[in-house]
Amino acid sequence: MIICGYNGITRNLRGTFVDENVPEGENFIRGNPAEEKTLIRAGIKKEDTLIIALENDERSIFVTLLAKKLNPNIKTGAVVRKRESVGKIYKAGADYVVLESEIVGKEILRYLLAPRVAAFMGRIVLSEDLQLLGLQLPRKYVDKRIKDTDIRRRIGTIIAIKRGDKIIKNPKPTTILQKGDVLIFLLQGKEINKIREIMGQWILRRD
Amino acid sequence: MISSFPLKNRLILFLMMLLSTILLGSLGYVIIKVFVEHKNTTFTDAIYFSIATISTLGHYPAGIGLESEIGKWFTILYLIFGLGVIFGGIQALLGPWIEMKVKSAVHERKLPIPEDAHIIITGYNDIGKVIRDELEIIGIPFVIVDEKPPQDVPAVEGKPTEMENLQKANIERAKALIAVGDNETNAVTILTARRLNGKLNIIALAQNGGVEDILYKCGANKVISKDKVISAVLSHWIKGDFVHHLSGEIFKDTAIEEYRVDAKLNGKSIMESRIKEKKGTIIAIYRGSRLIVNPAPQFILKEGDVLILFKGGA
Repeated sequence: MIICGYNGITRNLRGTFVDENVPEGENFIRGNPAEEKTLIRAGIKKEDTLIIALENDERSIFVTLLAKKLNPNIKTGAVVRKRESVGKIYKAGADYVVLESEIVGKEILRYLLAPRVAAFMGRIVLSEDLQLLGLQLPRKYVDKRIKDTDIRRRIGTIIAIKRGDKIIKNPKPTTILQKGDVLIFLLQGKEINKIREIMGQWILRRD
Repeated sequence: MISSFPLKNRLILFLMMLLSTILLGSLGYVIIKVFVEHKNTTFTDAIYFSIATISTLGHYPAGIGLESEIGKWFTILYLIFGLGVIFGGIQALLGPWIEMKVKSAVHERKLPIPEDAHIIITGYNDIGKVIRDELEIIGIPFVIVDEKPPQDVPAVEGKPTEMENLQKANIERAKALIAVGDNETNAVTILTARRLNGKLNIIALAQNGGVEDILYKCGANKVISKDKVISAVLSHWIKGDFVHHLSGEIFKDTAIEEYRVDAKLNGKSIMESRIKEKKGTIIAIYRGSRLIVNPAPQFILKEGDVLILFKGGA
C-alpha cells in the first residue's frame, strides 16, 4: 500500500509513505507525490491500494489522476477537506472518499444525540474490542429457517446476511438460509476466539 | 473600494459636485452673455439657466436662453455634462443606500437566543456547519458563538473563550456545549464553560493527537479526536471488513439506536418483550457501564437498561 502524506491520520497505517517532509528510509519516500517519478519510485505500478491524505485538496485530486493514469487498477481512498472536492475526486477516479468535516461532525452529533450508541460504535470502529464478523454458512444449515437452527444459541444474533452483493439487515426468524450466505455477527474479542476453536473453518477471511 | 466609501461622505461629495457644476455653468453663462452676446444679465438669471439646463427642464423664458452660436454649443455641452453629474451621483448614492436599508432590515430580524435546554456550538467552521445543518433538521435549539457567526441562525458574536459571550448564549441553562474550534480556543472555552455550568455536557474536538488528555482535564465529558476518527474509517475501508460494509448506516446513525427500558418492561425477558418485532434486533445491552453483547432471548430486562437496537432491513 502507498500512502501519500505522513500525518496524524495516516501515521498508524502500514505501507510506503510518500511525503516531502520525511527523511528517506525504509517505508519512506521523500518527494512530491504529485510527480510521476516519485509515485513510480514508490512502486505504484505493482501496488494494489493507494491512500491520499494531503494538506491540499487540489493536490489530492491531481495525485488521484496521476495514480490512475500510472495504474488504472489501483484501489484509491482519499481524505478531502472541502465538500466540493468530493465529487471532483470521485470523478478523478477515487474509489472511496472521506470528507473530514462530515465524518467528524456526524461523530460529534452521535455523542450528543445517542451517547450509548456512540460509545458502542466507538468500541467497534475505534478500539475493535467488538467486531462485526462474517461467517460462511455451514452446509448443514442450508435451506433451514433461522429459528430452526442452533446458530443463535451457539454464536449469537445474526444481525445481517450477505447474499451475493446484497445485505439483508435484521433477517426475520423465518428467513430461509441459502447456500453461499455469509452470516454477520457482532462479537466480543473473547467470543471470537471461542468460535475459532469450535468452528475455525467458518471464519471468513478478509480479502 | 467604492462600496466601502461611507454614504455620508458620498452625499457631501455629490452636493459639492452639484454646486460646483451649477457655479461653473453660471460663470460660463455670464461670460458668454456679456462678452459674446453683449447683453446684460443678472446672477439670478445665471443660476436659473444652470439649473434649468442640468435638470433638463428644456425651456427658457425669453431673454434667458443663449442665442449665439457659441452660446448654443455651450448649452449642449453643459447639458450633457450636467446630466452626467446628476445621474452618476444618484447611482453612487442609491446603491449604498439600498444596501444599508437591507442590512438594517436583516439586523432587526436577528434571531433570539434559546433560553434553556439548548446546545451551544463554539467555533463556526466546516464541522460546525455540519452540526448546525443536522440540528436544524431535527429541530434542536442551538446558538453559535464565534467571532464571525452566520447571520441566519441564533448567534453571539465574539470569542467563545470569554465569559461574557458564553453568558450571552445562556450557558447556565444550556444542555450541552460543542467545541469545534482550534485546540487552544477549545481548551480555554471548556475551562470557562465548566466554571459557569458544572452539569453541562461538553463535547470537544481535538484537532490532532496528543491534546485529548488536555481537553479532558479542562473539563470535557467527551473528546473526539479528528485524526483517530478519520484514520479508523480509512483503515476499515482498507481492510474491507464488515464494519465498512455497514458504515453507510453506521455513519448515518439511522440503523443503530438506543432505547431505554421503562417500568413496563421491567422483569420481562427479551423474548416476552417482543422488542425485536416492534423496534429492532437487540445487539447489546448497557447495564450501568457494563456492556452485554448478544443477550440470550431468556435475558431478563431491568428498568434503566439501555438497549442498542439494530433497525431496518427485512
